[in-house]
Amino acid sequence: MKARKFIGRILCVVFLAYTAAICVGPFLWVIFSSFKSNKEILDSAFSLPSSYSFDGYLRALEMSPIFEFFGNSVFIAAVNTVISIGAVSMAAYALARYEFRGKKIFTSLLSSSLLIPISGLLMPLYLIMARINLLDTKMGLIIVYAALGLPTSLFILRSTFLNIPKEVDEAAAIDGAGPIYTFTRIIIPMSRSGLATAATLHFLTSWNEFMFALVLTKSETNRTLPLALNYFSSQFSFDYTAMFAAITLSVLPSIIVFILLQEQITSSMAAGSVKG
Amino acid sequence: MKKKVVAVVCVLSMSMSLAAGCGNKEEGAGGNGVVEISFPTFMCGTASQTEWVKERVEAFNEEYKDQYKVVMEEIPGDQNYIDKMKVLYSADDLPDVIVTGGYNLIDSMQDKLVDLTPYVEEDPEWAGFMSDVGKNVNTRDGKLYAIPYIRQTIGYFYNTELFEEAGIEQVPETWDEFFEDCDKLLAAGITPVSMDTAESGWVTSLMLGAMIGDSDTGEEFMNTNQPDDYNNDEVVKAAGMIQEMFQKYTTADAVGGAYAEAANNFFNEKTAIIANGPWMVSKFYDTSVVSEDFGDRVAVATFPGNVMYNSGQIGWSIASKTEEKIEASLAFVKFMTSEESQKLDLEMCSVIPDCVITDADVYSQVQDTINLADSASRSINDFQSLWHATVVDEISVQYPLLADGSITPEEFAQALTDAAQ
Repeated sequence: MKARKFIGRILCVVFLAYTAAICVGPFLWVIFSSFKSNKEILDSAFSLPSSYSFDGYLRALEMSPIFEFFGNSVFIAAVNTVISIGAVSMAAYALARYEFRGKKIFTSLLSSSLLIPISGLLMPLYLIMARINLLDTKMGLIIVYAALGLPTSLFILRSTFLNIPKEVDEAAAIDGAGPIYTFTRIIIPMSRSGLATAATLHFLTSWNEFMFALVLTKSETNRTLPLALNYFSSQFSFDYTAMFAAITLSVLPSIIVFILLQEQITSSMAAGSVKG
Repeated sequence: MKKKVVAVVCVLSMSMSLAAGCGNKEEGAGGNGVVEISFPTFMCGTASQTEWVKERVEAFNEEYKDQYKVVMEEIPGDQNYIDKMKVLYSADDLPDVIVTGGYNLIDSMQDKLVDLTPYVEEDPEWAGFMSDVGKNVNTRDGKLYAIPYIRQTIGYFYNTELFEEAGIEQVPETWDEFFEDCDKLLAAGITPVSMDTAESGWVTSLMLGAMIGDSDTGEEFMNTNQPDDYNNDEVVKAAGMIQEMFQKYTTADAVGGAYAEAANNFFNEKTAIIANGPWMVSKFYDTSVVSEDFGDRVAVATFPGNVMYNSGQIGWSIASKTEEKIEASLAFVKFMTSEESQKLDLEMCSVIPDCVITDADVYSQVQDTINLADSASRSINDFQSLWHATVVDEISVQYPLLADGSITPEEFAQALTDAAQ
């Protein structure tokens, strides 16, 4: 019995170590590569650096405005996530709870935008942004990203609200709560896990988006991080050391924030998951 | 109630400040009458001409500070630049000045580009800087749509020490001799050639083009703009030779590898030969990439048959819509294509100028490339400038199949033809 328990523990440790290695390995590889020369990186991708020089970091900062782009990314992704999730949650609640004419068509219409390829949206969105004078603005990107994430967020949030029994709404109504009160004070707190999932996916989509950021902006004051990482390789030249340094600089703040706030983040993700 | 009013006021003021903070500034002529022109460029970050373009734009803005101002937009990545230009073209919102660095956008965008012929004709000094070859590449139906500033001269670089080790005393003059030398290198334990397949297989495709161009009809084909049919003896024969090179004479990472891997193999002296242009030369002396004295061991040669890539390149176009912007753009393009700017480009970035410059301070391999190009028996143009974009994309798909023998050289030629049509 003891032996079985011991083997079980060892297997558990091996599994956890393997999972940790998969999660942490790529970060460590990027960080170590940022100290290697281009020659070392291309010669032997997995070796340790022969010396620890910060030249790559200096070159990365000289070549591209990483911190400015990082700040823009944080602002644009955060603001459009708040706007989008706020608006979509209300739409999703209405679609999940109320019966009205054209509800199915309306739901299909909103979801069908998932099927439109990004390349097909580039031109019309460029023209619209140009017409309303929002080219090369943070507001332009915020609006576009908020719209792009709409179908996925709607799908997640509608499913979340459908999983909450209607009796909850009815009980609130008996107690005298109106629809707005029920939505904001009862349904939203009960849907934290769905909201967190939708917000995380939406944030990540905005954070990683490249093509609209490239086409709809042109000044450094409005550009986002994915563009910065393109400064380090072109058709006939490359600086992988600087590129890995830039990646390290761009992910480090997020990792530090996560480490400092991991308890709150984990608990907010888990909150509500047992309700409903 | 009071709480609600305060909340509404807060939300409104926040929204207004957000909108104000994110708002766009009006572009155009400044209040002091300075005409602003837009100039997006891929020459940023690690691109080889980054320092040159920064220096030149600053110099222009300083020299013309009372009249014009160039607003530079950095678009990192050559392909990203092309993608953005295509969107802007479709939206009829092209920037004032465009320079692509080899990609041919003239054919697809000429209806939005300014015909520069009359402006060049009225300035003989400016016209004097342009070679006939350069002008031809940038001319369509007798109209000049871009001002040349670069001459595309490409041979191949070889490692003299590795050649000596293999007992090769002089560079091969025919492709048969080239393959014999490859066998000698293999016998000496040296991988002969750097090759690649990804991102249009630039290094490999240069070899392919040089093989095609080693005959009268092949040379003509390699100077034909956007050919539609690749089913000819020259292409099939060259594809066969490339197949042999993939299977016998290159590194394991060639299939799937891009320029970076191919270049690194040459830099690390794992291979003895790489086809590429002189802009690569400065890396031969960069000790973060190569070992000490590596540059002294590298020489340049023409391709067998004395073939060289030696052509004009797509230059600077203007897409301004108003007279005052056209005037400002012309001043800028004239500045960037002047003898002084071309000389600086040559000295700073090893980019061969379109005009003749004799007193530049350059690496020996760069000067040798110019001399070899001047004396080459056959001059060809490169595939990226000539062939349909769909064909250039298709190459990366077909090379791996050719390499592992999944397709024959004839099928390779047919695949390129299908892509072109």
